[in-house]
Amino acid sequence: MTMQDTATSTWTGKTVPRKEDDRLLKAQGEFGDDTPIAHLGHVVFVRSPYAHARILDIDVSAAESLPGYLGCLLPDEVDVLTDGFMELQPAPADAEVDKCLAAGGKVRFVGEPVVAVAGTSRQAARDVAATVVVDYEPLPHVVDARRAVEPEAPQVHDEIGSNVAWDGVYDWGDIDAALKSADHVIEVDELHFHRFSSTPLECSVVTVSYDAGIDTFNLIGGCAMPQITTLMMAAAMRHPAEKIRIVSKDFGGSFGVKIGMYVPATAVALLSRKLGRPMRWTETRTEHHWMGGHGNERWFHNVKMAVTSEGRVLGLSYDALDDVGAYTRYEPLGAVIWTQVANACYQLQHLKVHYRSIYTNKGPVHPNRGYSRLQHMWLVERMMDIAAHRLGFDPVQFRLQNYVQPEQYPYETVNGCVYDSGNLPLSLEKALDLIEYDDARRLQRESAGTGKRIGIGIGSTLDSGTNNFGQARLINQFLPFSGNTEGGLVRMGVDGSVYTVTGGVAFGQGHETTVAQVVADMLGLTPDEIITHRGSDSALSAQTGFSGSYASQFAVTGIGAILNATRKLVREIQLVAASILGATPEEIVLEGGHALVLGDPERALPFAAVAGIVHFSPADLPAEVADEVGLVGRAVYRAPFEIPDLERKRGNLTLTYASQIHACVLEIDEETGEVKILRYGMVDDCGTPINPMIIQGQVHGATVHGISAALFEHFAYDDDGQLLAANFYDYHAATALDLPSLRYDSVVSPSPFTPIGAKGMGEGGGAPLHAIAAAIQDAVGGDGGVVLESFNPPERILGLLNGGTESTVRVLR
Amino acid sequence: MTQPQDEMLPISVTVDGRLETGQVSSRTLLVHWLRDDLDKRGPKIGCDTGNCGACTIRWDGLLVKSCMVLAAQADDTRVETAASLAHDDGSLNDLQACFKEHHGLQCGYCTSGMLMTATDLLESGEEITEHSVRRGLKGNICRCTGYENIVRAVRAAAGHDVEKPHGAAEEVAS
Amino acid sequence: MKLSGTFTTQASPAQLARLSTEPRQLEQVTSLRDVAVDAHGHIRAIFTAATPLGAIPLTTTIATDRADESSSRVLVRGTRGQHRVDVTLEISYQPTATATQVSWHADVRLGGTGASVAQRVAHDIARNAIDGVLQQAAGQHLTLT
Ligand code: FES
Ligand code: FES
Repeated sequence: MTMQDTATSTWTGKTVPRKEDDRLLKAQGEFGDDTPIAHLGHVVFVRSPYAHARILDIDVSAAESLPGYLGCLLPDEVDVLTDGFMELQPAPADAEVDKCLAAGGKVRFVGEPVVAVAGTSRQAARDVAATVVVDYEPLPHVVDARRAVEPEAPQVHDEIGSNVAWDGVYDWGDIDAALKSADHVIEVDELHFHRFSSTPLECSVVTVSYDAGIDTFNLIGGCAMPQITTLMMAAAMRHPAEKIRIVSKDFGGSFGVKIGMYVPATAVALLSRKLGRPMRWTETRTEHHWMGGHGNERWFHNVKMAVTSEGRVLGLSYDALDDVGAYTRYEPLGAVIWTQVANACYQLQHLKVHYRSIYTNKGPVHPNRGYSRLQHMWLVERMMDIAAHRLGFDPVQFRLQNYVQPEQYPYETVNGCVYDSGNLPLSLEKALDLIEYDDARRLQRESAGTGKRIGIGIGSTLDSGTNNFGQARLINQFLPFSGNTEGGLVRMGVDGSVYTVTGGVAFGQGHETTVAQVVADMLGLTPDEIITHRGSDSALSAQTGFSGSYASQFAVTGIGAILNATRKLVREIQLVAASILGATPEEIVLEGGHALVLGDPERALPFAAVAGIVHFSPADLPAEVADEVGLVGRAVYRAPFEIPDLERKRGNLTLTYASQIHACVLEIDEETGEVKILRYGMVDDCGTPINPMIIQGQVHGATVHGISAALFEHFAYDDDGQLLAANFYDYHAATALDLPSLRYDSVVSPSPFTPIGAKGMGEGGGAPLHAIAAAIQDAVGGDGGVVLESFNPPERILGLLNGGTESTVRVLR
Repeated sequence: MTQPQDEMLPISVTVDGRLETGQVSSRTLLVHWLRDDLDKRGPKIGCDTGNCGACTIRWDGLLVKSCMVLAAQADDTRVETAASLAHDDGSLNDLQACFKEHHGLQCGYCTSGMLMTATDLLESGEEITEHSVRRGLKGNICRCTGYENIVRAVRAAAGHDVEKPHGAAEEVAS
Repeated sequence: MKLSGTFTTQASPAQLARLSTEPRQLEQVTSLRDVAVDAHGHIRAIFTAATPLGAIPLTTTIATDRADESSSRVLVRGTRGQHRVDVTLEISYQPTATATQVSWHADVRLGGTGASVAQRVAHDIARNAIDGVLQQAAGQHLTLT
C-alpha cells in the first residue's frame, strides 16, 4: 500500500521525536489537577463502606459549622434533578437505575458515592466529608458471579428480578456435531479470568464551571470519549448537549477505564450550578480503585474443544459468566465486543458460547486495554495449550498449524468478521528468535533437578481496531448505533501558520506527533511547523459522536479524518494560488511553505500570502473562489461498515486486526513459587507504521500491563465485599525492578481496508497473560496441575506444583 | 479528625532557586503547597500511600516523595522540582533529551518524578547498569511505558550505548 | 479480623450481662458520649476511637443479641464518613472465688477506607478500643450500683 494520500512521505512512517515531549519534560504540561482556576471549590465524595446496604438516614448537620463548608449534594436532590443514565441492555435489566449518587435508597458496592460535599479547599472538603454520618442497614451481598446467578442470591437491583444483565447464545457452525465426530475432545469444568485494571497513574479529575449567564457547563479534565460523555450527561441532566463543553488538556492515561467519567462529572456539575462557583473533584487512588473501572472478570464453564487426530482444532464451546459489578455503565457491550475476535488467531469452524453478564456487589467494570477480547483470547490460548499438552502435540507446531495462514487473508471468521491481513507464522518465528527458543529449551533441560524450573510460553493475540458500532444492536436490537466515524480539522491562520485538531483524545499515544507527520507531508511542511492542538475541545467542531481514544482506532479513524480535512485545505490553497498565479488548481503543488506551479518554481506564493489574501484581501480573488475558501478543512472519516445480521449474529464488527505474538521464558522457584521472567519477546504487526517508535512504545506499555496483571495485580474482594487492593500498597503495579528487559520486533502487513494501510493498535490483546500462563504450564509440566486462572501469584504456583486441578480437566477421547 | 482548628504557620522555602513564602496549615503536605499555592507542576499525585513516586523532588539535596513531607517541615529549606532541570535558555538538559530521544515518556504524568529520581541516581556515583537503574527507579510507578525506554534513557544519559527506538536507526541511515 | 482478650472485674456476672443495655453505665465510659436508646431499643452513642490518624468519632449502634449470666452476644456497628467497623462480640463470664473473669472474642469487620489504607493499623486500634470499653464499663458498674 502506498501513501497515495500524501504528497510526499518524508515524515509519515518515520521515527520522529514527539512534539508533546518538551512541555512534559519541563513540567509545563497541564493535567487535570494543574489547571489554575479562580474561586475554585473542591468536591469530596462520601462513599459507601458497605457492599450492599439500605440508606436509612444521612446527617450532614455537623458539616455546617465547619470552616470552609460550601454545601453538599444528596441522593434525594439527584433524584429530582436527574434521570437515570442511559442503559444499553434490553429488558428486563434496562430497569437498572444508575445515578451519580447512590440511587433507590441503596448502596451496591464499597466505594459507591452517597453524598458529595464541597469546601473552599481540599482540606476543608475532606474535613467536611469526615463529619457526614450515613446510617446504613446492611443487606446480604454477593461478590461471586457464580453465586449471583443462583435463585436465592441477593438482588443487586431489586427492580430487575435477577442479577442477569444480559443473556444470549452465540452459535456459529455446528459445534455439537464437531464434538461428536472429533477424534479428540478436551473438557474443562472451569477457568477464571481475574479482575484488574490498567490503573492510570493520573486518577480522574473533573473541574466544572457553570456559567449561569449562558446556562452552560464548562468541563475541564481528561475525557477519553467526549461526545458520548456529553450525551450521557445531557440526557441525565435534561440539559442541551451544546451547552456542555468538555476540554481535555494533558491526560495521564485512560486505557479505556476513564470512559465512566460522566458519572462523577454529573455530580460535580450539579454542585457547581447549585453553589454558583467552579468545582473540582480530584479522585484519590483509593477512590479510583473502588470505582474508576475494573476490567471484566469472567468465568468459563463447561469448556469443550474438538481436535482432529492430525492436530487440527475444529472449534469449541463454553458458558461464560461475565462479572460486571454493580452497574452496567458501558456494559453489556462486553457481551458482543469479544466476538470481534471470535476465532482468536485460529481457523476455527465452530464456536458456541452462552454468555451472561452478571451483576455483583463489586465496583463496576469499564473497558480496559484489550477490552472483552483478551478474556476470550486467553481462554482460547489456554485451551490450545492444554490441548497440545494433553494430546502430546508440540505447542509451537500446534499453533502454527492452526493459525490463520498468510495466504488466507482477507479471512472470514465463523461470525463474518474479516481479518484484514497478517502473517502469524512469521510473527511467531520472530518471537521465538527473540527469546532464543532453542537455547531456552536447553536451559530448561539443564534446570531439571536444580530447584528451579524453566518454562516457555507463547501468547498469540489480535488487537481488533475501529469498531462497527452496529454490533451494539447484537446486544439490544433497539440501540440506534452503527458504523463508525471520527472527525478532524485543519486550518490556516491569518499569517499562514497551520493548526490541526483531531477528535481523538490522546493520553500518551503521541497523536500530536503522528497528526503533524501526515499533515506535514500533505502540505509540504515539517512536523515542527504544524501547530497541533493539545488534548481536545468539544467546541472546536473536530469531533463526531464516536470521537475519542478507545478501541484501537486512531491510526485509522483519527488519521483518516485528518487526511480528509487536510485534503480540503490543500484544495483551497490550490484554488487561491491558481487564481493568483494564473494556473489551474491541479497544477499547484505545495512545497517548503509555498504553493507553486508544477514545473515552474518561479511562480510561487508563500503560505503567508495565501492566508493574507483570503483573510484580508478577498477582493483580490475571483468571487467564486472567495466565496468558497475559508482556509478551514473539517472532515470526517467514515469506516466502511454495514449493520450486522441480527438474526444470525453475523457481520464485520471491526475494520482492522493488528497482531501481537509474544513469547517468554520464565523461571519458577520450587520452594517459594516465585516467578522470574528471564526473556520476553514481542512481535507486533499493525500494518503500515506512521511512527515506529510510538508503536514500539505502545507495545512495551501493553506488555507490562499484561505481565503485571498475570503476576501481581488483582482486584480481589473478601467475603464481606471489601476490595482488598484499594491502593498501590496492596495493588502491586509492576515496577522497573520487577521486569525483564523487553525484546521487540515487528512484521508489517498493511491493511487493505484503511487510508494508509495502518491498523489501530495499542491495546495489545493481553498477550502476556496468555504467554505467562502457558510458560507456567510448561514449567510445571505433566505431573503438576493445570493453569486454570489468569492470575498466578506464588501461592497458586505452589499449588500447581503440587498438582490438584487434574480432575477438572478431562480428555474425553 | 474532628473540626481541627488548624494552626497556620509561616514558611519560606527556596523552590527551584527562588525564595517563596507562604502560610500553611500544620496538616498541609509539601506536595499540595507546591502545587496549589505555587502552581509548580513537577510534583504530581498518583497515590495516597507514598508508593508511586510521581511527587518526587529533591529536598535539601535529598530525594524525597513530597507527599510524605509536611509543608511546615520545609521551612527554611531548598526544594528542587523537575521544572528546574532544563537549561536556562529553555533547552532540555542531557537526561531530558535522552528521555525524548528514547521515548521514555508517554502520558508524561510520571515523568517529573522519574527525572528527579534518575537525576539523583546519576549524581550518586553509583555504577550505572541496567540492574542498578531498575533498582533505582523502583519507587516510581509508570503505567504507560513499561519502563524499558526509561531505563534506556537513563543509561544513555550515563553514556551507555543503548538500543535506539524502533525505526530510529533507519532515520540516521537515510 | 478475630480478636480476643480477658480481664478480671469485681462486678458479678448478672451485672455484667446487663451492661450493654444500660445507657447510664455506658455514659461513664470516657470514649462514649451522647448515649441514648433508639426506637429499636438499641443503644446509640458516639464512640471515639484513638488512632494514629487522630481521634475518629464513630456513630455507633450497640444491639444486644443475647445475654445471660454466663455470656452475651453484642453487635456493634460504627460508621463515619466512609469508615465503617462492624463488631460481633461474644463475652463470657466466669465467676472465680473473689471476682469475675471476663473473656471476649470479637469478629471485627472493617469497611471502606478502614479496609484499605488503615487495615495495617486496625488490629491494635480495635483491640485496645474493645478492651478499654469493656473494662471501663465493667468498672463503672461497681461505682454506680
Ligand atoms: S503521590 Fe507521593 S508517592 Fe504517590
Ligand atoms: S508516561 Fe504515563 S505514567 Fe509514565
